[in-house]
Amino acid sequence: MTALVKCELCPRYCILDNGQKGECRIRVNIEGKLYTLTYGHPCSIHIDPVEKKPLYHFLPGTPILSLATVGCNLHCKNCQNWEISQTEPYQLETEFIEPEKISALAIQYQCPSIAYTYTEPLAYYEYTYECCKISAEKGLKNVLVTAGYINEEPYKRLLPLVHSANIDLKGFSEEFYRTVCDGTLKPVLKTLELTKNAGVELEVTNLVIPTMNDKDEDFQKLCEWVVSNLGKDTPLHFSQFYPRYKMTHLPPTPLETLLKARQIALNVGLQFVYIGNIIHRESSNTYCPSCKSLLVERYGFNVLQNNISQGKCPKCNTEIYGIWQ
Amino acid sequence: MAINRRKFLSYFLTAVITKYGVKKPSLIRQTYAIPLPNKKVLIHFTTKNKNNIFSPKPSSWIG
Ligand code: SF4
Ligand SMILES: [Zn+2]
Repeated sequence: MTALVKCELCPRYCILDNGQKGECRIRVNIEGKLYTLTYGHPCSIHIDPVEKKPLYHFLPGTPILSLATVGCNLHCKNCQNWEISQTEPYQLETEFIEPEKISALAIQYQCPSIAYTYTEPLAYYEYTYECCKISAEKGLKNVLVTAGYINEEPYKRLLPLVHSANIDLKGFSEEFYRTVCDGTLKPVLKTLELTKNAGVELEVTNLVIPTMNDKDEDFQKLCEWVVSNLGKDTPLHFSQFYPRYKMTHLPPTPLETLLKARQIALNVGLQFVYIGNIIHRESSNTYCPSCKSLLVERYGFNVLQNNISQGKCPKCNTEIYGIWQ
Repeated sequence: MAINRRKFLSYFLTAVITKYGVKKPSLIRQTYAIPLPNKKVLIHFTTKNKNNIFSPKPSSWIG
């Protein structure tokens, strides 16, 4: 009888029979051993502006090589990338690209950093890890864009190779994570704390879905948690929801809701609060938390001016959280 | 909740299996997976096996 394999990468702890794939569809038990099916097979590679991740405190205005393999260990009903995140490996035609080639592509296209993004980089863990290792050796920076649903031990192993991360805090209740994402909240909070404590440049994104996580007290609780556990210098992005996948019955988030969320976050004491997926000039700029002068002006994904000099406000010399060069 | 349901079913099945004297398969814990970098290896594997790992299956073994 072939052994069952228990995958301990993420809090789902899938127990897999021979030939069976995990919830992420990426990992499979083949005769008592756990294999990853998507290693070296990215389904998407693009060059994006770093602002698209969104990262507003990390090398503004630079291009970032962004890649993903299929699969995800969460199943959010509103997934924007469900065609790749909720599909089977090899349903999409892919070619083998070794980690060395990924960093070579970044260098070739003059991208100072690489983003593991679009689906879930912590589920295609081994590929993320190898690419990060080789890229870091070549002087490139590594960025995770993730839902943060991973166990502590493997995450701690990856963190020293990571420079920046945008982690989703999709809601602030177990119920939201259970009903919308098919996951749990607690491990995500742990991942956020580990990331910040490791000195990785951390930005947090909260996608605001009408009727699901858009109440004042939802924002209040989330922001208070961020201030007390990650610090008031943590950039927070409220993003506009757009009807997709299994949530086409809900309307896009109104601008007023996003502005209200931003105001609550500022009142709670957060220093850098942005709204995204929607054009609103003031809420996409970075201002100095001390003297309020304009530091980075953005329009959409474009940087119109960047006045930060050596990581500091040019007027009052306040150090601004982020990686600026 | 998915995990608890799975755990419960796992205990339940184990109990049933033990009662009927069927040998319980061993359980190997693994955090890191082995890369299967070459598509050909995989296709080769599936043609040799009854278990077609490409076919969509219920995503957890008892759930
Ligand atoms: S990484 Fe995939 S296989 Fe492993 S426990 Fe999570 S969902 Fe299951
Ligand atoms: Zn200033």
